[in-house]
Amino acid sequence: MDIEIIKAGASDTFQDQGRFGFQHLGINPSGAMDLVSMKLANFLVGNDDNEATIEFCFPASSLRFHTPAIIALSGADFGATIDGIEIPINQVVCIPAQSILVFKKNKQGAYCYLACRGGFKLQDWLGSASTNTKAIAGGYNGRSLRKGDFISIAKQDLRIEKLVVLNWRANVSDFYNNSQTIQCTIGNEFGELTKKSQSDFQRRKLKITHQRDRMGYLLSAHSLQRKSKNELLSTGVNFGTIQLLPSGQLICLMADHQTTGGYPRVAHVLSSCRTKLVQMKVNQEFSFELVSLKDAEQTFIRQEVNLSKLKIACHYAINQFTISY
Amino acid sequence: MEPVTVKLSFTNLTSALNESKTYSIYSVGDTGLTICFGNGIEDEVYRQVQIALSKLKSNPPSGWLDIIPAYTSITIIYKLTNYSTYKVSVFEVVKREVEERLIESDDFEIATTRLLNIPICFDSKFALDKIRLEQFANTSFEHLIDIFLSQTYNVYLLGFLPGFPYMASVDKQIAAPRLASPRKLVEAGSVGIAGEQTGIYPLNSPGGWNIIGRTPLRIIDIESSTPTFFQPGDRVRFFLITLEDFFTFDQSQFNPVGDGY
Repeated sequence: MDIEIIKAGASDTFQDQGRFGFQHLGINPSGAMDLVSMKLANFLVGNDDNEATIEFCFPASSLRFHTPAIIALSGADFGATIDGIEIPINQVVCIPAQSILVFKKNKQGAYCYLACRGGFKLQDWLGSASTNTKAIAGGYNGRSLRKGDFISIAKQDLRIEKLVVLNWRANVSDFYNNSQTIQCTIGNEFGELTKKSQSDFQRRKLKITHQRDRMGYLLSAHSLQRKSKNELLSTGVNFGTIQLLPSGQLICLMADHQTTGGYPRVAHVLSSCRTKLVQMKVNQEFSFELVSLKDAEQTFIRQEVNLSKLKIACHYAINQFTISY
Repeated sequence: MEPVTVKLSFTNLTSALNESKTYSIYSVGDTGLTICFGNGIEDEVYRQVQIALSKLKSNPPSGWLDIIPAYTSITIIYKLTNYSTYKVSVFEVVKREVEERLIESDDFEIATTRLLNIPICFDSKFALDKIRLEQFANTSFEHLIDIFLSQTYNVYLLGFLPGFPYMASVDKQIAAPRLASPRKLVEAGSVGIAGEQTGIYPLNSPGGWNIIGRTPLRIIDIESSTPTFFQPGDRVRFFLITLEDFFTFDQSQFNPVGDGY
């Protein structure tokens, strides 16, 4: 009963890297929308990659910590405050008992991750703590957090008298380059587009619409045409799959995507570009760029190498701190 | 003469691969690939998918996260970081892993498919689209029920919702298309028809299938280590129960596994 939700957010859930191995039963993998930020928050406090975090979207929940804790936020910047004092993202924060965490302003990004040193005490479902809201399982009772919910954290022997922000910061610039393109690999049904739509796919600017959630992001200003209207049989899809809806609009499937889909799969967003796409704001403009599978794989592997370097650095720093503390 | 032997066996392998190859493989992003066996809902394609599925499932490499069957295909989701390759892409490596497994003889033992008998109540309380179905099939609801019960359905895949079985094939006469606009709420247990597919809603959900009746069976149980009642590859027959049977149904006393009729 260490953390109390004193105000509910729009839809805040526990997420780890996701639940794989059950998609043949129609059980979608769930997991963090932005895996990079989810892991970074964990690394900062010295946790392992797959420790569950709270994934916030704006407006986010307010939390009261009944016990001292070492926490970190990563991903979106929602103007987090502890007892009214602003705290940064991508840094370790030590908070005393009775601290109140409030997110004040939707500054940047879409999903923010809170990791707590030692991790939260949750019941796994099929090997993962990720919340599956469809099956109403995993995370906190299989649902988003509500006012009055109490969460336990792994016991830590901490004496923290006052708020302290530790003086190192994880450099995340590698994961969000400034270019306005989202790279993807070609989808099996790309060839079903008319010649003009095929060239439009990479040329035209598009935007993230308000119709976005953990299942998918609907994209605007991109009306593409198919050569024929024949219906397809449901086939497997992936996180990042871009489907063409009968309306001519594109939808990009996200962490809570269904396990199979029957719309043409035009392209698939690179694993290494998910973070950037997920964290985009509504109405933000971008364009798609097709790259080879080999390039896609290498970019992702480079990103993973960078992440593991950050992990080593973060773990070293926090362990040095807790030893001297 | 060692090198020659190696070369020969490689040639044999390749030619055998080409002869028996009735599928194509394409990528589904940088962490997935699909093996496609055809384009229509057909018994022969279903058989091929089921055989391939048992081969792939019997000894999957550690980098495979999910093996997802669908009507005419199998999709594999893999973990990129489990592979380290220099010359070729990870996709090519996983593709090779698939091909090596599929090349095994078709005598390969398939896990015996289960024939499941599923109770269904057609009371108008549950058959929300009774009139729509009657109009489509141009027959009485009683006759429509007979047609529906006469088929044995294959569970091709689970999807849409956790544990939702996509089954086929529904007789063309009663294969009504989806509702133009989906219902906001379809209750758990509802049995629906969408074209030649039939399915059962495991949970309350929005849905656009024509609801013909309801089963009292609970087909998802999150407390169980095998949380879904159905599995891809199951065969299903429905049997009629009354409204009274529906309300007195006791799942703990129910054995759905039949040996066929």
